[in-house]
Amino acid sequence: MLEVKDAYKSYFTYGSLFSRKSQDILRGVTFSVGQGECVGLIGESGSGKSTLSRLILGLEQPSSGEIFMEGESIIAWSKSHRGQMSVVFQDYTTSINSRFTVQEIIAEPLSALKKSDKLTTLILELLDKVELPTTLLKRYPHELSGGQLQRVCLARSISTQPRFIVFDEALSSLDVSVQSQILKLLRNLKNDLNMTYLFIAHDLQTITNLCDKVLFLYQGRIVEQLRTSELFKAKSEYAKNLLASVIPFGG
Amino acid sequence: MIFWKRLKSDKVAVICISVIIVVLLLGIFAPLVAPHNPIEPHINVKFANISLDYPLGTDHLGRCVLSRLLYGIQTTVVLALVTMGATLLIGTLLGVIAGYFRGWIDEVIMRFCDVLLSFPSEVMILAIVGMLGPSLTHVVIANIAAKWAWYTRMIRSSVVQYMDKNYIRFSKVLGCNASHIIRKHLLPNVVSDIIVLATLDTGWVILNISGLSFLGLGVQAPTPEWGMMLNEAKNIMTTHPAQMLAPGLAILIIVIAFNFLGDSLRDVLDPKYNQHRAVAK
Amino acid sequence: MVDWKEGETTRNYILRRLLAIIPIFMPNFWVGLLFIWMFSVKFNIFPTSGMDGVRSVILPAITLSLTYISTYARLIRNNMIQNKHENYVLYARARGLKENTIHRHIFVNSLQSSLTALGMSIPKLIAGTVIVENIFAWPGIGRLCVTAIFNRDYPIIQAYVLLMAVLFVICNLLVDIFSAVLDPRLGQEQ
Ligand SMILES: Nc1ncnc2c1ncn2[C@@H]1O[C@H](COP(=O)(O)OP(=O)(O)OP(=O)(O)O)[C@@H](O)[C@H]1O
Ligand SMILES: [Mg+2]
Repeated sequence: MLEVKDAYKSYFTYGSLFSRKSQDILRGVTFSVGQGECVGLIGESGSGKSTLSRLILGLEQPSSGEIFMEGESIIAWSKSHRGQMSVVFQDYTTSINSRFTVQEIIAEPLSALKKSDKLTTLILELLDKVELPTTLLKRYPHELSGGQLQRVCLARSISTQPRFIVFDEALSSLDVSVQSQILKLLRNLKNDLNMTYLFIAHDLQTITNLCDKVLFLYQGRIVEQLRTSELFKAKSEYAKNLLASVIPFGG
Repeated sequence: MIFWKRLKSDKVAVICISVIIVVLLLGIFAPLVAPHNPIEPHINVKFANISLDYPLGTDHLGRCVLSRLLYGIQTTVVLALVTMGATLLIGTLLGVIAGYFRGWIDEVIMRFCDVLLSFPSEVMILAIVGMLGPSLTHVVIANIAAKWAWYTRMIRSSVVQYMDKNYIRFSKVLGCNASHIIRKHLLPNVVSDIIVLATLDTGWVILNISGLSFLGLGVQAPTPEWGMMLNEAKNIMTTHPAQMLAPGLAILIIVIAFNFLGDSLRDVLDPKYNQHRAVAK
Repeated sequence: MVDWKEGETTRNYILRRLLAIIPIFMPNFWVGLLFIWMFSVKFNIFPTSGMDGVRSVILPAITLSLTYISTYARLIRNNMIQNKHENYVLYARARGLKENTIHRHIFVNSLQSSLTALGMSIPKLIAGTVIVENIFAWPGIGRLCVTAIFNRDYPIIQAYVLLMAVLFVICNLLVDIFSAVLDPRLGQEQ
């Protein structure tokens, strides 16, 4: 479904008025995600995971390289497939317009795409799925906790039943019980609706829990691609170290 | 809405809004409220004292000062609001276009604004009125021409800042069209950023219109206007100094009302409002 | 809101703010007239109009600067409050510098933004002179310009505008130079 071919991305950092340095964040990222697959992307902080996700979502252009969705370029694809791609951003505080109530936030994608029949029942269902009480419906974002906000973002992201979703550390501020509940929800959604996920995290546990395949991003490159069941076969230094630190008894 | 609730709990804001609304209503319904014709001279009753018939006395031509003040609202305050409205409209339109679409159109609009902004607006207003000739319409046009570039730039920078927010990125990822993003996300935020400045600025526009009228560059002779009334009072200052009081006070009150309202709006629209309140109490 | 003092009633708060704000928003053509009436007509201390000697400068100067005096007083005060919490003040205290010396440093640093504001208010001052010259009947270029507008004397208007633009540029240049002298960081940062 998704194909990233040799994507490079560099940002300019302005040292002084006349000199600017270009800093390579991604240096030739290549991988593909099949239909209905759930791929985990793991890497240390600052390794460029969020940057890669912005490229995939079509929010930024790669400096070089190409990104295809079902054979089309990502820009063309998202124009013809409105509402079929979605995202939960890492920074949930700016993910939400603080002028909207929870109800308006969740309803926004649906009403924007004019799929507004049975809106209220749908919203209630979604709230229930992400384990939020219906009493929150009329609240404003600043009256919610961080974890609640993140779940509102989750509910919003699945509201249009997209076929492809990027989760950028979407579960990082949730406690373990809610996390496992959401993981279960995501697994069910994947099975029922045949959704495709790109799941970004920096801890292995959640990823192994949900994903079929894990990508290791290190210094701007994908250093290793493994099926979750074959994690012990890791060959690269980075992947091995990471696995060793998480699963001390490992392979 | 949460905004109104906050605004209502701010006493200063409520007072200012009431003052402004009352003044505007008085201005609009001046023909009904005013006790006399503001233009027709009655030489036999000139410089009349305060009385039931002439609540604020009469001027050097025997015209009722109160009536002239009330009719003056239509010229000064209403036109100041029209000026601000037009400026905001142009500024928002161009600012949103520049900030949302970026690219060459942004470049063109911004460079044009740069050129205009490199010139002091006060002098520009004088220059435009000078070129077009003294008249109230020209004063309004000059004010709009001198201000729109400034508003365009402010609004653009505010738009650019909001375009970076994740909720707008989300809408883009989803494939929402530009009009949805602009209407639902950009405009409400941008307008609430700019409304404070616009309110504060309305006071300055009023000062400017009446200042130019005082010089004789704005309103022409019999039309009642506050700055103009002060100009007439100037000539008879030695004999009848009280004539200066009413129009001057009127300007001061309305300008201060707009400024206090602007300050209150700034607090009310501040996301950290609740913290401020907590400290204030 | 920020400067709401603890335990202050709303009425006192509004009154205090009014006192601070009235000088800023008194239309200067009104202030000028009131001054003339008070000091020239009533007490006859200063001449009502014209340009002879120092005494006739005082009223126009005060009229013109009234707005700015209170604006800058507020600006500098706010800046000093802000500057007091900067690290360098803490450091100076820790080194045991005299309070007077510290205050001088704070004051100089607070002048910075006022200077920038000064650059911006010069055009306002220029526009202000038009009105003040008119009230006090000074034969200045502001009045010349207004007369030219009435007479449709376009070359004079153009000359006035050009002169003002040049003046504006020069003033801004001077302000920039002074700022760089006051705050060496500005010069180096680029
Ligand atoms: N717009 C930008 N301009 C310049 N540099 C940027 C920009 N966005 C990201 N970077 C840099 O790119 C690098 C990767 O950032 P990115 O947000 O992709 O990291 P990440 O892998 O998501 O990290 P984390 O796990 O902490 O979220 C960082 O060093 C960051 O400083
Ligand atoms: Mg990230």
